[in-house]
Amino acid sequence: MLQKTIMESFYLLFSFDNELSIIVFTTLKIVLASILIASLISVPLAISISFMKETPKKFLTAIFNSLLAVPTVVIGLFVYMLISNAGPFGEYKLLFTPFAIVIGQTILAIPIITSFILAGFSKTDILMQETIKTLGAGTIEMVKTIAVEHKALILSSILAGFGRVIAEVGISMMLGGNIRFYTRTITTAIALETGKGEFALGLALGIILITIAILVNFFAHYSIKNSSNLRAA
Amino acid sequence: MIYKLKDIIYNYGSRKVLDIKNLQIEEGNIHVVSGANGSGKTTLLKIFNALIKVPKGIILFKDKPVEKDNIKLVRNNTVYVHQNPILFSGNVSDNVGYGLKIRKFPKDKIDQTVQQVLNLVGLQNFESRKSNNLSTGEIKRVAIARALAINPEVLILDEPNAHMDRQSLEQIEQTFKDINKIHNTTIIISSHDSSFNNQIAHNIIMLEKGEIVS
Repeated sequence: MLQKTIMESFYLLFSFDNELSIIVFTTLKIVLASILIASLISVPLAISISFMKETPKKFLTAIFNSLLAVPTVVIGLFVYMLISNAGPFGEYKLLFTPFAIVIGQTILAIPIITSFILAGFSKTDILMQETIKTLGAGTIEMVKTIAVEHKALILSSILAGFGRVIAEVGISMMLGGNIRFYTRTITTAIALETGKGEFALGLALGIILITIAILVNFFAHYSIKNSSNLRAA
Repeated sequence: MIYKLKDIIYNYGSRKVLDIKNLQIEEGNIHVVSGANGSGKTTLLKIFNALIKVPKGIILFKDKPVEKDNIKLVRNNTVYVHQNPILFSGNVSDNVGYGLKIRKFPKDKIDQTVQQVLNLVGLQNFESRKSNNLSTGEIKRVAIARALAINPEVLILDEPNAHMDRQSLEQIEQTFKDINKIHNTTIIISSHDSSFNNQIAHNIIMLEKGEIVS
């Protein structure tokens, strides 16, 4: 039976099965949108926190580190309450749409990207901030320069967020509703197919998920290896 | 007087780092701040560049108090070079031209200035060298060139002579003298190398445990 399932899953993969393609495309579309929005918020946020004095910086770092432990179903529940018919944003009919998943996944990714960037900043960054300041840069120029100088750290943090978001199931299930050809993602499809005892599609999707995760990790590793660090005398 | 400092007290935790009753820095001179490690030299230099806020005391730069509204005035006219400076990624030219780029200078003017200041610090033809392919002494000289490029009224240098060979040191010494003479740039240097201090200084400020002793 296992052999048959594996054969079927590979057939689905290499025959470019329509349903499988739509699920993968939907997943990538949602995850990329979430990561893009989360990055646009997290990168300036992390850099701004790094400018702060020791006490508020430590406090905010602890908050973001704590938020890493929040389960996806709790985020799902929180957003569900906001966008369901009875919630404050119910009138926008966002529940069970791809956009609802994007909201939830963005909330999931923000603490991951922010915490990883903050953890990567070291004491040399104080030196760097002073150097940029003394050369006459304003705040925007400073954020831009720090972002450029830490591009490898920022990229690897974004990729860590990507890895977490693409593998989550709670938010996608609760806010997307696992609607076929609309909000069904790789993880919700795997959960559904496994529940039905249809392992072939689930396994094919699992292989795709693992392949994406490996590629993302290789890319992160390569980008960090090839990015030069600060040069100090 | 370009700087006037009065009753400056700066503590780091419970440790007193600086306690300066009165200090005036004359425009157009080379001033050397000397003293043992931990005597407060770096803190004083950072105060001159408004990198450190002082909770107590008065600091005047060109007779204007160094406060929030005047920080820009200080930053636009002074530049501080760290003891162990860092360079940004990219090449030497990107680094030296950084201050001019953010001041929106045209590219040809930036290229011309970069070449001039690199000549001054003895790094001719270093424009395209990658910043991660330089020795410690070269990094220091690029950092000095980066500061010189913006043609500051006050050049503040924290131990520029550390980690430098004799030949580079003589060249840098001459460069400081030339800049001071030609552009009337006020130069404030921290150093505990007495022969270097005597060679270059118009005025020596001696610090001991955060207090001026001579």
